[in-house]
Amino acid sequence: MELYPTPSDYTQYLQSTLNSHQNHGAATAEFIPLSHALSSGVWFNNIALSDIDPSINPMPVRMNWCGSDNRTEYDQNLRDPVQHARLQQEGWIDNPIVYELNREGWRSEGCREYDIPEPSLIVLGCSFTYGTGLHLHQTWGHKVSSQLGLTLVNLGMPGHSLDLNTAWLMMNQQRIAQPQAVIICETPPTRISWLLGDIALPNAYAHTLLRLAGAKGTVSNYDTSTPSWLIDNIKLNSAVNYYKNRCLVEQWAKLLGIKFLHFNSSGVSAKTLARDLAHYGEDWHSTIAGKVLEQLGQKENT
Amino acid sequence: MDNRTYDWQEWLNTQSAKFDNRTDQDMLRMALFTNSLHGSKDIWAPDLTPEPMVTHWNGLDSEQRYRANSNDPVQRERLAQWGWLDRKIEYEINSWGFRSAGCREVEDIDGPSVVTLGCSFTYGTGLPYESTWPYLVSKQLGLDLVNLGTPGHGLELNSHWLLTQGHRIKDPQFVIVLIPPPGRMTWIEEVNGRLIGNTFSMTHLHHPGIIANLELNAFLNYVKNIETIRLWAQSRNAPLHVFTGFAGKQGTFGLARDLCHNGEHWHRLGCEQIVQRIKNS
Repeated sequence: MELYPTPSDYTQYLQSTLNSHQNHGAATAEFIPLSHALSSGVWFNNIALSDIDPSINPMPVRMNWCGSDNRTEYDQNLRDPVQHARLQQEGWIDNPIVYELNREGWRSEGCREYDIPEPSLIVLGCSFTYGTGLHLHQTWGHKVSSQLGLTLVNLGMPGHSLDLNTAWLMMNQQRIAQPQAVIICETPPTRISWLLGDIALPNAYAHTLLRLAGAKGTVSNYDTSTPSWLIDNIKLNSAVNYYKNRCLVEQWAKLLGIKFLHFNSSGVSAKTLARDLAHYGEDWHSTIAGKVLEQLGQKENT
Repeated sequence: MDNRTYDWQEWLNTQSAKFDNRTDQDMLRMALFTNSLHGSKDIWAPDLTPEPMVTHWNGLDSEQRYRANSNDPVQRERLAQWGWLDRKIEYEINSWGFRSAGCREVEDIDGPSVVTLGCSFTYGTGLPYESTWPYLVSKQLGLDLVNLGTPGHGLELNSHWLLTQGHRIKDPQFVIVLIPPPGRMTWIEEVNGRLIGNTFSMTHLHHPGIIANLELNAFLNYVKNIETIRLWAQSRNAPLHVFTGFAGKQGTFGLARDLCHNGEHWHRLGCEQIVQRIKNS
């Protein structure tokens, strides 16, 4: 008997428990295997507002738009003289971006699935790690991994925090054979991921509780119709969740004997912008990569 | 329109000030502590502070429920059948709300110990401490006990405790998890400055997309929480054993004082099966 059950062992444990509780209300977990629900949730989140038909089943895709970097807003910006000038200044006119996603929804060079036998670098975060509005090679994760000669495992998830990518890492850790370091780029508060499944459909979708609870507006601005107690408690629980996710990844890295970094980018300014004119541009990523390499003990050369 | 911008560090500082400069540790302690007092103390009392205490009721095993059962002829007969009439139970809890002999704090347990995690079936709601499977297992193995059973919850709060406070356990020899029922997700609520360890089903988050997918999301969290426990156990070289239940014939388990939870026989069965598995491994 194994001293420590593997994730698949206790997934079986839990699935059998769930199957024995079929009368306990919602039955989504019995209809959608957990690993599928998770990857489906990530995939549909990461193709949001892209040029991919959201009615298809998750598969490796190449897309030209994603999230806040979508065609509609880009066209609007082109029509606005001020924004048009900014796009031109930033070099985003006639500069197509190809987002390559694997079948689990992670941004990955060549749509490669994350079964990585060679030495790799794992990065976790939100859209600033995923690289919304940027070419993959412009992102901090790619710059660091290239410098270190490692394959990049980019677990950035736009609009989310660490709930789902940490869960994916824990459930799929054996697929990443030789991680050399794991790095978290801190995400904004209030984000608690929530998988939405539907027993009539084969797929699950990832949302955040804040949205489900009816909050409108951006991360920074909430509609006043959303009760403040709800906002406060979502913030509280997201903080607790965040701390736990971070500690879990750190503990995992410690046990593997690999480097762990967690950084907050609030002090890093950006001169350039991504194509959506909302996220930071490549200079910010270069600065972050430099700082990360410095902390990893590598000479900066990005 | 609220135009505040939320910087993470700034927000943490704001929250820390709001909660009287309490840290993650303090928030976790209060959530666990208030949860353990459900059904016994007024968790809204302004002078309530997390400290070791002895209570006589817990959760479903409340005085109100006991009185109601005592006044119902059928239920009274069941109470008599299982030996609960006029029988007192002492819940000795430490400052984290964990059930512990003599209200001992975890760091005061010096000897080698068995660490148990689960819900009320591990905490021992409706049973004397000495009748619970964690106690029986610890005695069979000749070890001290660190019982992190958290009534009404899944494994979120206690695995969080293990991850961030587990260094307080001096010499863990085994970690045993009895998986709680599905669909449980912790939701910490702050009401009038008091932090309460609640679950989703007890909150006002009644969006159909939340209710309908509670089981799925709780399932995902369970996997993550058990991984949290597994990594901790591995870091301390303590073998982990996960149970989803104990084998036995329904109807023979007996009942706890609340007439809801399984009784003493079930706990003895559980102890036998756990000890057997440990011996076989």
